[in-house]
Amino acid sequence: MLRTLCFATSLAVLGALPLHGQSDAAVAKGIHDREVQWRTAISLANWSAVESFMAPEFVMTNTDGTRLPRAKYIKELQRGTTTFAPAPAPEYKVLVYGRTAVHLGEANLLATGQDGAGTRVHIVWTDTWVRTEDGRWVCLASQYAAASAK
Amino acid sequence: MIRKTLLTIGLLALAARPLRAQDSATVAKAVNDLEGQWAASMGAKNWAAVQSFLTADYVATDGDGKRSNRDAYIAGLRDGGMTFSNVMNGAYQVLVSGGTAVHLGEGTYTATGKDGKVTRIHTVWTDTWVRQANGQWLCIAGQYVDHKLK
Repeated sequence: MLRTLCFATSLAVLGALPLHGQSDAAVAKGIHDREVQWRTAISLANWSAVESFMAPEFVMTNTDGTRLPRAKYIKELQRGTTTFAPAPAPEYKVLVYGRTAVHLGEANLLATGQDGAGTRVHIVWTDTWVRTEDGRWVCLASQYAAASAK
Repeated sequence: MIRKTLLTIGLLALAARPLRAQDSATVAKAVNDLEGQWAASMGAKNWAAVQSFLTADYVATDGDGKRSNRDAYIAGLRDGGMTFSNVMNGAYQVLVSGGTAVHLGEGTYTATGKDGKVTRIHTVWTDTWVRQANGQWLCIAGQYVDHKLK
């Protein structure tokens, strides 16, 4: 009886320990894949998919310093069309710290407004991702800079 | 005997649980205080203090999309020929998720060039802070955009 009790309680102790995390390299790869999926969803105007990459409290900071919460950011995207294309020899880096990952990336972006006018720019971003309790990674905040397209 | 064993195992189970996290408001206040100290250190040209707020792999991204590692960021501040004064941080928001805190801040400062030219600048940033095992908060990445004030 005592042995069974000790065994069961030991399992409970183990269950209370934090789960062993993925390797940093695996997290970095997973985050980069999600970034690519996010941009693909924007290019396809799949707004429910776009929303799924962001935490409810997500904040986007634009090149002029204005901030947009998630719903307004999506509405802003919906006003025109945005297509991403890889920049020549795009560079990215992911800084991983436990349940935090910062994606430092770049791409070329073609945005077309409702008036049909297009803008092609090179954007550089810092995206902060956090791992939720259910193991998903969602983006909490993003800020980007824009320059002439490469 | 059984009671003592259960008590011991129970204590072990409690010890194995993650430490109770600080509440979000406390974290937000603490991180904002660190941002204020960081700004004050820049004004005081205390580069060792500036470095102490940053992780070894810290990356800064400016409004043109240029990335700098920690050493280059500090060297740019120290050797860039500018002095900073009247540094005042303004409105802010902190998004807290476990051991991650994203500081969405803004501030104004006076930059004085080698030629004595004085420029008042408004800056908007997204800084990602991570809690270390020892409880200390360090900034892992930051992106900012500056605008000259008239």
